[in-house]
Amino acid sequence: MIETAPGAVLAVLWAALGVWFLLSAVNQFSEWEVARFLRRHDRLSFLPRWTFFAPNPAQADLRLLWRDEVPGVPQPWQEFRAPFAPRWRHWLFNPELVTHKALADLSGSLLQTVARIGEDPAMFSGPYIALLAVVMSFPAVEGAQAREFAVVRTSGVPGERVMKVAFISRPHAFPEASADARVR
Amino acid sequence: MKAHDQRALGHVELAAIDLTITAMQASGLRVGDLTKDDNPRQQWADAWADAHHPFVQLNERDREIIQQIKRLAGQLESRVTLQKLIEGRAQIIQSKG
Repeated sequence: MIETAPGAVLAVLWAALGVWFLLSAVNQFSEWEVARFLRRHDRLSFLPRWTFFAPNPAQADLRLLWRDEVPGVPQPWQEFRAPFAPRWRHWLFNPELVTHKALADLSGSLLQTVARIGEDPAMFSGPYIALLAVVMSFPAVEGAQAREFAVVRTSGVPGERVMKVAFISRPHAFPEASADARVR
Repeated sequence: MKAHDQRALGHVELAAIDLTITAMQASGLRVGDLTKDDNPRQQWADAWADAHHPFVQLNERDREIIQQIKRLAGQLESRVTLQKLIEGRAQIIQSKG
């Protein structure tokens, strides 16, 4: 067995961590060509990028809404509300956050896809299909033949809340076979 | 600072959204038409993409696939079911391979 001097191991470790630190620092400057190069080749996302709070903090929430359509009569919009963890444990154990994060990421990804390739082609995207599958899983009102969903951005506090409709799907027909099963 | 509020939308807020969407649909507008000038959706989408990693650079093959997706989207019936969309996506993915 080859014996390695602890000093040499430490030096290699320091060098590796130092390079990682430097590359991570460079990766924070998205406009730099070298950062683009790094991110193109960072297939496993070794280089972190922190933009959750600065310089452009997220200022809006994305909410998922849906409504049924009984022939000729659109029903009221309803908001999909995933449960929140109780306050006493949400700082420690918060699996409920996964649903919220998934919805936020899917909605964000959908908006990104729509902006890039347009609304109709975006229907084949994973985020669209996933969000549609979520809303189609809810019970329907009697006689409903189709369902549509919307993504709404909200910011501010109730009473002063600003709302912007960010996306509206097409209406999607329910499959005939599940007509009886879906009535609530 | 508390920029977010997680409370559910109230009836009045849902009604306001309903009115907005109904007015848009009645006049044949789409969300993109309303946001052409300042295009916050594009800005938001760019910010989101930037925050969540890598730059998307489309190559020739990707562009071909997008054209194929657009053609397929043009053939969809107006109230396409979830099942049909999944089948369409499967077709696209298979043709990519």
